[in-house]
Amino acid sequence: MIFDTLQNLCKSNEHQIIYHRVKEIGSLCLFENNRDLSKLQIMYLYYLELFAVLFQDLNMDEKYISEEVINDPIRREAYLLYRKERRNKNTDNDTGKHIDSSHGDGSVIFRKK
Amino acid sequence: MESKINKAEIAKDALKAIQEIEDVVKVENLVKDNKIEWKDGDKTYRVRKPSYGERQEADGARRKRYLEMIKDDTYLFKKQWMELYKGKGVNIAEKENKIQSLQSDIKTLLLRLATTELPNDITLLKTEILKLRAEQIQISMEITDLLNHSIEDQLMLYVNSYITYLVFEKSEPEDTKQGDNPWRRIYKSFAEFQTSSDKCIDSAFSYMSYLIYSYEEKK
Repeated sequence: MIFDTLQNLCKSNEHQIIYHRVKEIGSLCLFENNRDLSKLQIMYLYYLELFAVLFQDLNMDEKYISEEVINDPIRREAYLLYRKERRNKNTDNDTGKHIDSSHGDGSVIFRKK
Repeated sequence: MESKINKAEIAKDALKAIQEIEDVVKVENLVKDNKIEWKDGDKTYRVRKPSYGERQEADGARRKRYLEMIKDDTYLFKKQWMELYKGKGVNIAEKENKIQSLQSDIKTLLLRLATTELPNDITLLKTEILKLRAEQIQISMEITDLLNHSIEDQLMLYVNSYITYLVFEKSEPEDTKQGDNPWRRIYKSFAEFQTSSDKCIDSAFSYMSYLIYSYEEKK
């Protein structure tokens, strides 16, 4: 329940804008604590990045992504898995070529309980 | 009559919207720092992320407890429990393999779902994925129950309890000079914490799960 709300929060315009501003302006802080992040804070960062990636794909008219997919947890998971597989295939077919990892899956490690 | 129904539906929707806003505010509050505060009656409690010193203390307690457990013949490791169960016809390794195989099936269905655009197919695939997930959870819960008494699980429970004891605090502003920290650890010892029947401990455990990954997850 709390994690559903957390995901909705990270999906919201307000929090996506905050996320992008924090990335642009290094001195902005998301939390009162700068270190020793809680599990919830780590998950919050993970979801912010995850939704940023999804919205970016949507804006770039990538195949199989839509608002509907973003709003449906199972379809969202399916798309992210498909996206990862597609990227892995591209990397295999394109060894040696530089891949920009800043737009990949979340750089924050998330382990499901 | 119809307007009455509409009014009731509108009221229901409004209540749902208010609940959603309250949930969002609550989660925003939980995320803002690495502490969680809550009220129970006129008392204010909190749990927080343990400090380096507290984590060291918890590590020491774990080490001590682990030594006690391995000296005690009634405590067994997961692998030993698995052997015992196997002798009684319960194969946990097989159950774990089943979870893996279900995961592989789920992955295949997810990849099909990702590229499917027909509404009927989407519904069917989602239903099948949820069915397999439920089966996975069922087996996982069975394994958890069976291995509940293993050294690994008991040690994880012990450490999580110990950390909760260390960071579970009550605000006592009336006993605090201005400018000083009003938060006080509630229990003088871990033994006192373990024997307490205070319902607030359940809330503390629940909130701690939002602050830290459990010992097993960290490993």
